[in-house]
Parts: sequence; C-alpha cells; structure tokens
Amino acid sequence: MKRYREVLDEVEVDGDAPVAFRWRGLRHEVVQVLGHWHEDAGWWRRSGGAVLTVERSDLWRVEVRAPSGGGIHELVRRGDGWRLDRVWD
Amino acid sequence: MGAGEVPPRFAHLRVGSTFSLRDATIPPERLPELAAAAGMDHVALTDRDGLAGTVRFVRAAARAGVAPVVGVDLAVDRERRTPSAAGGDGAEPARATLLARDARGYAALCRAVTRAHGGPRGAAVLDPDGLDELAGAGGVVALLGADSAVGRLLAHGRLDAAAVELDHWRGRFGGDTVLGVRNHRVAPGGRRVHGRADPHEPGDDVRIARTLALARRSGTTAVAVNDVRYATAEDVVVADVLRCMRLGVPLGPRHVGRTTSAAWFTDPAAQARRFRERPDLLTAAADLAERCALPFTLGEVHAPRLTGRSPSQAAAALTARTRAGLVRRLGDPADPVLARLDHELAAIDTEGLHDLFLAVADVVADVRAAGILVACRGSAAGSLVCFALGISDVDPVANGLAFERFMNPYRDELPDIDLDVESHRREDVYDLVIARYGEHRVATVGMYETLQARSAVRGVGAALGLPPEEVDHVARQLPHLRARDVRRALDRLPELAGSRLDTDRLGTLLDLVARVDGMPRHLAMHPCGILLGDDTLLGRTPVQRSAHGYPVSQFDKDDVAALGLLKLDVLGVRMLSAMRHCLDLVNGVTRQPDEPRTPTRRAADAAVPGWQDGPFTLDLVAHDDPATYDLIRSTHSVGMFQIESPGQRELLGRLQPDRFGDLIAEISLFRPGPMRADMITPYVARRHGEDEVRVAHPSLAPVLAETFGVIVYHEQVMGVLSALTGCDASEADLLRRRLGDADGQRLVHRLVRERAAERGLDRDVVEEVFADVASFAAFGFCKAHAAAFAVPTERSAFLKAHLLPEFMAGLIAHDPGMYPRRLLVEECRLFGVPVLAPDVERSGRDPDVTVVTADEGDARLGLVAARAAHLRGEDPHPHLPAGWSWPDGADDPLPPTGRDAGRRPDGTRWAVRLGLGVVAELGAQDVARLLAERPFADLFALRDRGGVARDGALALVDAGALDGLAGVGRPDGPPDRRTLRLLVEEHWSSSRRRPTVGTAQVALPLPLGSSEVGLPPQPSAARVRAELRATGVDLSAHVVGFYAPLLAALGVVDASRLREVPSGRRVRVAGIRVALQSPPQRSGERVLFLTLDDRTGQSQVTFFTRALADCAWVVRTAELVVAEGVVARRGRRGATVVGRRAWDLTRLWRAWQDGALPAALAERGTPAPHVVADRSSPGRWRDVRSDPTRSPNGGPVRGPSGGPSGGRGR
Repeated sequence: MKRYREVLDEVEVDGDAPVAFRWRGLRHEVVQVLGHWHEDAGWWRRSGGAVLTVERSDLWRVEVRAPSGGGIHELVRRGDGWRLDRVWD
Repeated sequence: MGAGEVPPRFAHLRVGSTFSLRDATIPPERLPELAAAAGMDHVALTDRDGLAGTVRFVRAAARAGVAPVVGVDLAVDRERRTPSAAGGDGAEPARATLLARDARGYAALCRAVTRAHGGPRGAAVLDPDGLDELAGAGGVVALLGADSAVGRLLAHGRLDAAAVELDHWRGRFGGDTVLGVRNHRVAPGGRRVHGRADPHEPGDDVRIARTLALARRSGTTAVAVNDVRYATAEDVVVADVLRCMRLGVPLGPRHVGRTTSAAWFTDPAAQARRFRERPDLLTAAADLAERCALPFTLGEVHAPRLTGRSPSQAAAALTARTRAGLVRRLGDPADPVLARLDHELAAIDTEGLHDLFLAVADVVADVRAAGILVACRGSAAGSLVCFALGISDVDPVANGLAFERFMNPYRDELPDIDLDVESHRREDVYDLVIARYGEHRVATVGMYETLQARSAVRGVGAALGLPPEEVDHVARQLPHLRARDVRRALDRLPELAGSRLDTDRLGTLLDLVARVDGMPRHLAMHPCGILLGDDTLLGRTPVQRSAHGYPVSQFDKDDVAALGLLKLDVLGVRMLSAMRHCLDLVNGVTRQPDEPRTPTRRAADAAVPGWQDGPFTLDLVAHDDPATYDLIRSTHSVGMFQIESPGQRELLGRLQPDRFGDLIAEISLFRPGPMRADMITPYVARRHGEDEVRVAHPSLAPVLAETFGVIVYHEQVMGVLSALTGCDASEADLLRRRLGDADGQRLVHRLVRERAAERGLDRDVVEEVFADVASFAAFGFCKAHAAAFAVPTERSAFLKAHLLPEFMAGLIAHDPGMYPRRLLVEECRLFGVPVLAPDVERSGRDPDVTVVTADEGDARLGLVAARAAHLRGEDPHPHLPAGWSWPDGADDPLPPTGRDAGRRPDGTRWAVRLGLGVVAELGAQDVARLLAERPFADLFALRDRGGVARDGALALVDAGALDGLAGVGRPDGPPDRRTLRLLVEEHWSSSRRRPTVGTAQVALPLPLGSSEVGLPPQPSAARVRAELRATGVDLSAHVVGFYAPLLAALGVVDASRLREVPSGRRVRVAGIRVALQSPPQRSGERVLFLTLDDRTGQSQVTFFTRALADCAWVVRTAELVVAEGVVARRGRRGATVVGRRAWDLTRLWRAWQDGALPAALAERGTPAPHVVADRSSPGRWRDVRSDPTRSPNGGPVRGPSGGPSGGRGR
C-alpha cells in the first residue's frame, strides 16, 4: 500500500460515486466500488463563523482499470475537491 | 437501486429523543411527524434509561397517524459485575434495546427501568436478575445492536464468544431476540482523514457482514436500524454538545463517540442506499415494528384499589364512615343533608371511586395524628363526603357548594383532591403516605428541569472548552430567560461586548445555547404531586429515586393525567406552619430539640371563645366569632391568610365582613376578573343596602340571594343555567364550561332559549339573565375553592384576634405572607406586644413568647415617660410614642390600632422574643450547636464552645443576642453594643490565648437568668442600623422615628390619624415602603398602590397615571418615602391618599440638614444623581444610593438594605 494525498482535478461522477478520474496524466476507470465511508472533521476546532456546519469527507475505495494496469485506489472527496489517498497495486 | 425504484418498507426501531437526557436532540412529540413525513407508518421511541417521553410520543403518534412502538435503551449487566468484559474497551457498559410487544411487555419495561435505576446511585444498569424477570414477564423484544455485548464481541472479531453471548439472550427471549445492523458508513479504522485511526474499529461493512453471518448461522432475525439521535445531519453538533455536557468532558474526537454524522432520521430511500444488497433488512424492521405496535390507550381513567378492599366492601365502608362522620360533625343531620349524602355516594359508586375517598381520608387522619395541620383546597370542599370524612372543613350544604363542580359523571377525569399541609413538614407527609401504602403503590410526580439560558451557557461553554471565567461572565450577564432569547438579549446587553471572547466564539456559544434551549436536563421531584396506586402502579410508570430518596415517577403531571393515574396534590403552605407554631406556643408543645422551650404555656383561657379546657386546637374555632370579625373589619389584617394585601385590606374596609360567607365573597371578588369588571362596587353597595337588590326573575332568587343578585360564583352560574333550562347540576356544570369561548356561548345560548321557552319563561327575561351569566361566567370563582381558602383565613384571623403574641411569633418564624419580617415585628408593637431581641441564652431557633414585667413592657414600648406623667396626674399625651393614645380614666395607654393584645390581667405583658434563626449570618447548624452547648457562663465560654466564627459572633452582638450574656448596659458590663463589638473582635481574634482575669470586664461570670437588664438605653441610629444588617428588623426603634423632626417640619400626618382627616384635604404621609402593587384596572390605566409603614400603622397612597411621571421613580426606588396627595375615602374605614408628589425621605433629610429643603421639595421625576441644590458646597452631596449604610451626621438611617420588600415569598 502506498500513500499519496495528491489532488485530482478531473473526476467523473455518477450521482455521488466516482466513475473515472485522471491521475498523473492517465485516465483511470472505476470498475467496482468496494467501499464507501464517511468521516467528519471536528467542527468544534474550526474558528471563524457562527454558522455551525459539519465538514464531511467521503472515502471511496474503488477498483480501477488504467493504462498502467490498475489496482485498488482510495479517493477522498471533501466538498467539491477530490484527492487520491492510497493505492494498493 | 435506481432513482425510480420504490424503496422498501422501513421503520426506525432505535431512536433516542431529548428524554434520553443530554444525548439526542429530537423532542419525542416530533418523532411521529418525522416518521410520517418520511412515509413510515410505524416508529419507535427507545430512549436511554427511561420511558419518560412515552406519553408525549404516543399522543403525537395518534395525531400524526403513525403507530407508536415503545421501548427503552438500557445498560445491561448480563453476567453480574462484568459490565465491559464483552466489549473490552472499558468505556460504557453494553446496552440493549427492549421493545414492548404488548401491554404486558410495557409493564415489564416499566419495572425493568425502575429496577435499573434502583441500584447504587449513578448510571442505570439492569442486573441479571432484572433481565431474567423482564424476559420471564413476556411481551418484550430484545434488540441487540452495535453497542450490545454481541455487537462489541463481533467488532472485536471474537465471533465464537459473540455466538455464545447471543445464545444467552436467545435462551431468555427466544424468537424475540433480534440483531440490529446499522450502516453509519464508518471506515475501517474509523478516522482516516482527520485524527488517528483506531485499530480496533473494523468499519461498518465488516460489522454488518459479521452480524449477518451470525444471524444466519443462529437463525436469528436481523433488522436494519440507524441508532437515530438527531433529525438531520446538521443537528449532530447539538448531539455532540449534549453528550459532552452529560459526560462532563470537552468536545474532542474521542469524546463525541462517533466519526460520522449518519445517525440522523433517515428516510427509507436513504436507508435503502445504505443496505443496497439487503433491502430485506429494512422490510424486517418494518415487520418487527408492526409486531410491536402498542395498543397504548391514553385518557382512560384508572381507579386504583388503594385500600385493598373489594368494591362492595369499600362501598359499605364508605357509607358507614360518612354517616358516622356526619353525625360527629352535625349531630343529627337533617333530611336534605342525608339526601345529598346519598346522591354523592351514588355518584362515587358509579365511578367506583370509594377507595379514593377512603384513602384520602386515611391520609388526612394520619397527617392530623402526626400533629401536622392539613386543609383541603379546591373543589373537593364542595363534597359532603369529604366534609363527613374530615378531609375538608367546610359544610357544603350550609354554604351552598356544588358537588358536581368537584366530581362530574359526564366528565371523564378523576376528581382532584388537593391538600395543604405545613410547608416545612411536606416530606413528613410523603413519609406517612408511603408508610401507609408502601413504596410499590406510591410515587411522587416527576418534573423535568430543563436547560435554561444560564445553565446552558455554562454547560455549552464548558463543552466548547472556553475559559470558565469568561463563560461565567456571560452567564451572569444573562437575566433568567429562555435560551432561545439569548441572541436577542445579547443585542441589548452591552456588558457582553466587554467579554474577552471574540465574536465568533461568542456567536458559536450562543447559537448552540439557543439550540439546546428547553431540553430536559434531569428528572426532579414535582413540588407537590403524589401518585397513589395499587399493585399495578409500578407497571404503569417507571420510578427513580430523588436525591432525598423519594420515589419519583419518570412521568410529569401532564403525562400522569393522560395516563389516568390518581394524583394527590400535597402543597406546602407556610401559613399552616405559622398556625402550628402558634398552637405549639399556646399549648407548650415542643416538637424539635431546637424549637423554643415553652416558658409561657397558656392555661385554658376563658377569654378565648370555645376554649374550655385542655389544649387549644383549631377545631375549637367556631364560625362567625364577633371579636374575630371586628378585627377583620378594622382592616388590621396583616398576617391573615388571603386577606392581608393592601388591596384586600381596602376591600375589607368597603365590604365590612361579619360572617364566614363574607370572607368567601371577599376572596372570590378579589381577583383580576371581578376587579377589572368592577363587580365589587355593585356588590358592596347592595351588601350595605345602598343599592336595591335586583334579581331578574323570582326563580333565580334562591340562587342569587346570598350575593344580592350579583353573580359571583361558578355554582351560581350553574344554578342559573339549571333554573333556566331545568337541567341537573352535572349538565349545568358542563354548560358552564362551554361558556368559556364564543362558539360554546352560542351553543349554550340556543339551548337555553329553547328550553326556557318550553318551560314558559319570558323571553326578554331569559335574554337578560343569559347576558349576565355569559359575561360573568368568565369571572366567577368556584365557591368551593373560595370556601376552602376561607377556612384558614377565618382561623388565622381568630388566632390574631385572641392569641396575637403566639400568632405573630408563628408568622415571624415562617414568613407566610407578602410583608417583610420587620413589618410583622412592627405589627406586634401596634398591638401593644413588645418584641425582644434574640438572646443566645434564652431564645430557641424560632421566635417564642414570653412574659415581661409591666416596667420592662413599658420600657420596650417607650411608655415610661408617659406612664410617669400619668402617675403625676399630668397629661401623658406629649410623652406617648407616635400613634398611641391614653383614653380618659384608663390605667393604660392604647396602642395605635386601638387594641392592646399584650397586657395581661396582672399588669404584666406578653412579649415576642425573636429566635436565633433571625440572625442571617448564622446557619441552621450554628444555631443548633449554640442551643446544644448553652448555657454559657461568659463570652469566653461562648467563644470556646459555641462554635461561632467571628462574623457570626459580631452578628449576634448586632442583633442584641449577647446583651444579656455580656451584660450590656449593666454596671458590670460594657456600656453599649459598640463596646461589646470591640470586645468580641478582640477575644475572637485571640482565641488561643485566654486573657487573664482583669483585662476584660466581661470576663467576670455573670448571673444567668437575670432578665432585669434594666431600661434599654436610648437606641442610637447606629445600633438600629446594625440590627437591620444582622436581622433585617429594626428592633429597638422604628427607622422612621429618627426622622421625626423633619417629618414634623413637613407636617406629615401619622398613618393612624389619617382616617380623622376630612376627604379632599391635602396631606403628607411618610414611611417605609412595605408594598407596591400595580393591579389591573377596569380602565386599563396603570395605577401604583404604595403602602407605607410609619410606626403608627400603614397608609395607602394611590398614584394614577397623571402622577406617575413625577412620582414613579421615587416610589419604585426609595425605601423611605414622603408622599403628598389628597385624602379620598372609599367605604367606611378606608382612607387613602391619592398621590400627587413623592420624595425620597433620606434625600429630603440631607437637604434639610443643609438648608436646601425647598429645592429638594421642588424636585420631580428622576432626580440627578447629585443633589445640586447647594452649589456652595457641591462636594458634600452625594447620591444617597451610593452608600446604603451611611448616615449623615449620625442621624437618620435608611431602611433595611435589602428593601423592606425583601421578605421571603410564600
């Protein structure tokens, strides 16, 4: 398993779920969603703003196919931003 | 599942509400709406540790058309003392959700909850035996979720142990054992993005897979749940705060007990997305909910079998006891009375309520036997059965009270019987009730304390980890208000701007405070409700224990009424405590070691009507005693129950009661409705024959004669309706109730018109009478209520008329009324009864009564000089204290009230001696220790054994409690209290070294029991000021007396002489403000009624709107007031002053001392903070409010610093 935390600019989604994304110039296609989890940031730590919101992260563990081969990737979405966190080759 | 698919049926089976007490955020009454909106037709309420939300939930479910499922989420210790073995994480014990499948199951849940709370104080945990009992009772489903022992073992991968654990549950609950799975989308490891991962967290996918595998292997039903704690994901912040407040920890990843915010009230579609592969789990949940839909019936009356008798035995017992009771009360009851009894017994028979009456009669008898005064309040006084059984003391037949107003067969509710008892012995009454019926049949009604602004600010602030002192600052700035109003209050409270919290933090704080507003915080005991039940009680309500160990129902008073449980209200009434205190003093009874010893027990006194021999009891008080009503008519009614307020005293002056029935009318008329409608004026005019008594139709005469044609009582409204329509009293009561709203009025109007026409009544008369009835229906008062109140009113008046010293001592001890203690002391003097300072050697905790010699009596009352003049044959009047007079040829002077209640036949005087409890600085334990340790030979003994700290000792000096011990004013003692103070300061600061004899003159042992202290020295202002500070009472001299020269210069009239001043004359009155009221007026005008006490009595000043601009500020803020106005008379006795001007007396005094009186008298409205009249020496003048204890030139002192209205309420 390798950890990355790299920002993904191009992610195609169907509803909530990622269908394909471009990472390091290569298009990765999602073959199967293996897991979908949530995680909240601690709302009480953030300062600034009386409006209390919970910032939710979505974790997607997906099996992908890519020109480089494929494997299991874990993507994280926070708000509108996507990130690649982990890869199992 | 695609977008177009219909989601499967689903119902939430694990849902916490606000009654999970600081855990979840949905109010139980909102739950059914949420379910209905999500398209569910069932929903469960399963609060942590209790069933408190059940009634609200079930009622709301009926409104929303949703079937309620009732359950509870309990911590379960299945294996005894191994609470967390299964989970291994050592945090909270494993839990289970228990759902009632039927009525039997609900009863079992009630008992299980009671049992879980019955363990050692702290968290509720159901023990193994309790679990067995619950399972054995049947009708309960055990739903085991992620926080159950099974769920925890599965999460830890101990699959075999989980299977064994599940077997234990299946062994108890069989097929009613269900596994719950939830999908909160927790990732393996829990926190992955923020914070540290938890290696023990397998993630929800794994939990679900393992649970479903176990379910399959064991053949156990599995259902989808969501462990709901909040309505929407946004509300999770509130749930977090509540949880951290409950646990007393700051918000933090580990403390909120969650990593996702998925525990919201998911709709079936959202839930289906979480169980994409297993929609059958949702259907299974819906099926289980359907199986558990509880046929919960509310609103049915449950008449408990309290006495254990069969209904026929109970009926026979009730008949026998009421008949015997009537004979005891009335001798040979007349036929109408017996007919009324049969009528009532028949109605009680129909309802099957024999047991209720027998039980209450037993309780009342027990309470009486324990020496506690008890009185019946409310409509129960309308029942002859209650009268016969000794529950109430009013004869309903003689007083025209309706039984149907109390118990109406057409109304589906249990009759309310409310008992008043001595307030300080309410818990003793609880003990008696529990002793008689047993803990399994008695519980007190619950009451939930809620999160209010201040407590919420502190709790939320702590959870947010804000600096405690800053949070406290914010909390203290807030007035007591609802948390949701805090935001708005913030805008008006510039003080908060000074907080060091930045706006964001403050904003977050206040936002959260508003969102937790009003949520129940914890269960407390209702101040008066007691549930009486039979052996089924604990199957109807779960019970917890109060801090004092009393059983408390988890249901509040509304719930209890909806459940049809029988409630007895036991209200603590201070007046009864005061009357008991009086009786004990009269009879020489000592109830507690620290209560006054009884040196002055009265022998049976022929001067007290009805007292032949033996102890004096209230049963000896007969109605309509002339001396009692003479005193009432004099309007010197301070201390009399219900008729002591200034407004009531004015009404007494106009009404001039001379019998019990007049008191009932007085109490009924003195209420906002009749006041606003000015029913009083016609009533009074007709009462005194000044206006013609008019009754619209002869058939109404019997109903309205007692009130001269004015409709005053509900009973009369009923009587008139029944005269017009020919209906019976029960129906008349129902019609009366309908008159409350416009629709009902129309309906009743039509019915009355039709039936009256059938009965041949004249249409115009009917219309006129109905208009009267309709307009007065809203104002009328239940005569039975008023009559019940009038009993203690008449009795307290009797005690004041005949046993005044003891009665006043009781009042001072228990403060039952609206006036401050110092006015009660003043009232004693107005009746010729001197009040002695507390005495550390002689006083008890509470005031008692003693006898002083004629000389000491004269000295205490300031009569020495006048007596000497009288003996010399001179006119004593110039030497008499203000308000006193010396009638020609009399041996003794007359107090300002014209009544001398102090003089004894042998010339000695009754006196009231204050108790040590009056010294504010001393706590109850200090007083108890003093009483246990005395006698003290001298100050050193007091210091060494008395256990009183220096401040306490100084307060004792100031109160005068050491005058006797130290010999103040005696040749061998300190000359005054100031010197004594210095001695005490010296001794108490050198408590280790015992000074050698000779260094202090008070070290000499003093003879005990020498009551001849000599003449009290001329009281100084400083001394009175110290008394006020220590006790709240200006004991040795009235404050106003110090201002006498100025009052004379201003031409102020004594209150006692006001009635001699002709109407229309302009006068000035002065005194301490003792009451300020603003009752509603018919015109809607704002009017202030000010009562001033000037040592000769009280004067009334009324300020109408046009005077308020000039006077309101002074009247509201000054404690010593001079008022100017015009004398007005209403009625026979009352003389009031219609106020035009008002001044602060202390301010006038300063101006006078400085020669600036005219300027000060010219001031109006709100004066500038500095008096600027004397420009030549501006520095000398300061705002009088800046230093409340300062007195200019050692002269006058101000009133008590807490304000004369500082007395405790009832």
